[in-house]
Amino acid sequence: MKPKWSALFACCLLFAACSRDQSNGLERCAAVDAGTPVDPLLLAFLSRARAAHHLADEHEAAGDLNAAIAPLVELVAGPLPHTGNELAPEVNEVLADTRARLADLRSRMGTYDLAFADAEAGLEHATEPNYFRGHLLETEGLVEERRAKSLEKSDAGAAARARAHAIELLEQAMSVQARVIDKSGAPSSPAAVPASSASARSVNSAR
Amino acid sequence: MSDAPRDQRAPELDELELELLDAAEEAELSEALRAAFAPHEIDPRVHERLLEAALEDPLAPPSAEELVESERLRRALDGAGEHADLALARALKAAHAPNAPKRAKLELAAGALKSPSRNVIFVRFGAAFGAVAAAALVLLSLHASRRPEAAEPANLLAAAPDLQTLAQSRSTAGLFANAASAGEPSTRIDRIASLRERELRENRYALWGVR
Repeated sequence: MKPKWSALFACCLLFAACSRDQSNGLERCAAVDAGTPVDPLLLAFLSRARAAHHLADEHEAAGDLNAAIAPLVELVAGPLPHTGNELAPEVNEVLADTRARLADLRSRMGTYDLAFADAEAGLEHATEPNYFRGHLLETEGLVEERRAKSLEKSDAGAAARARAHAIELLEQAMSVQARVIDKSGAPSSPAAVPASSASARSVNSAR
Repeated sequence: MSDAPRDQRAPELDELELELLDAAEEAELSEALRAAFAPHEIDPRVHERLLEAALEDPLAPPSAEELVESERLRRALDGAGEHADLALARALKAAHAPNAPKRAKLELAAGALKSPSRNVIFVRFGAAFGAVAAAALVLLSLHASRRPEAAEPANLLAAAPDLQTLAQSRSTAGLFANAASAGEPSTRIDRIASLRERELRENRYALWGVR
């Protein structure tokens, strides 16, 4: 078939496909938007989140942590797609992950209060024992560890308390992630489990 | 879409130079017009490829250029100004929902169809898209009646799927069962967004009845 006729035929087919039932399709899309299926609003949020994190990547790679924080703050403070009064699971998880990154960035800048506030806000979005909650606990532990180091010279007592709190948070993180792995059904390999992980499990199982 | 430079006025049907079709071109034109007027079910795989080609990013907002061009085309369709795609738009509209042909044109084309040499109108692609509409009018006028499925295109659609069968919003924690391989935050959001983009596309195909 000559190219020009191929193009014409494709146009006709496409036109026919598009005109099969335009109004019906629109009605159905509206129905989907109101329900729980994956919908354009959810994708809009995810697209925004993706862009924000990649922007943060660029600034972080350039060493500008302040600039890296900005798009992430915009994301968590910006519009969120709701289903009724609730956020979709993905939205909660992306917000939790974003708060964890904010906490990490802020602690690297030495603004520990803001970092802890982000970590706590993130934990409110990740109440189930899943990867995101474990990652937030791990991040909060690392934030506390950094704070302890910053206090070593000025306030040894506060530094010790911060270090103890960091250990507690990191153990909680290990416990949550161990449960995540157990739930996934991944085969366990006792010989490959470091002693610290094994002890962490026993500590947390005793809680 | 068109060979005509942008802003060049599309020729009216009466101004087109009509040439003869050979047998193969006539068959192709007839098939194209028949498909546009009374589309039948096409292979779902072909249909899917067409949709994917047309909707590479179903959520992408129109670009500034697309907005300007669509407004120009809309005005041209309303009779104000010209647009390079005006002839194509009119041809497709005429092929899908033809108006009654003018008697003179009907006689002209009918005469060509009756010719022993099987001469039919040849239309040039590009700027001559308007001529496709003319041929469509002629061919369609010879139909005794429209095909039932063309009269009710909604019948071609599969029944609306149960919304519960569509991909649902749900936790993505299962994607990161192994914390060690979860990657950086931007890698995680990449995975989440890519997966949901694919699922939204699948949902739309299901709603359109192509899955």
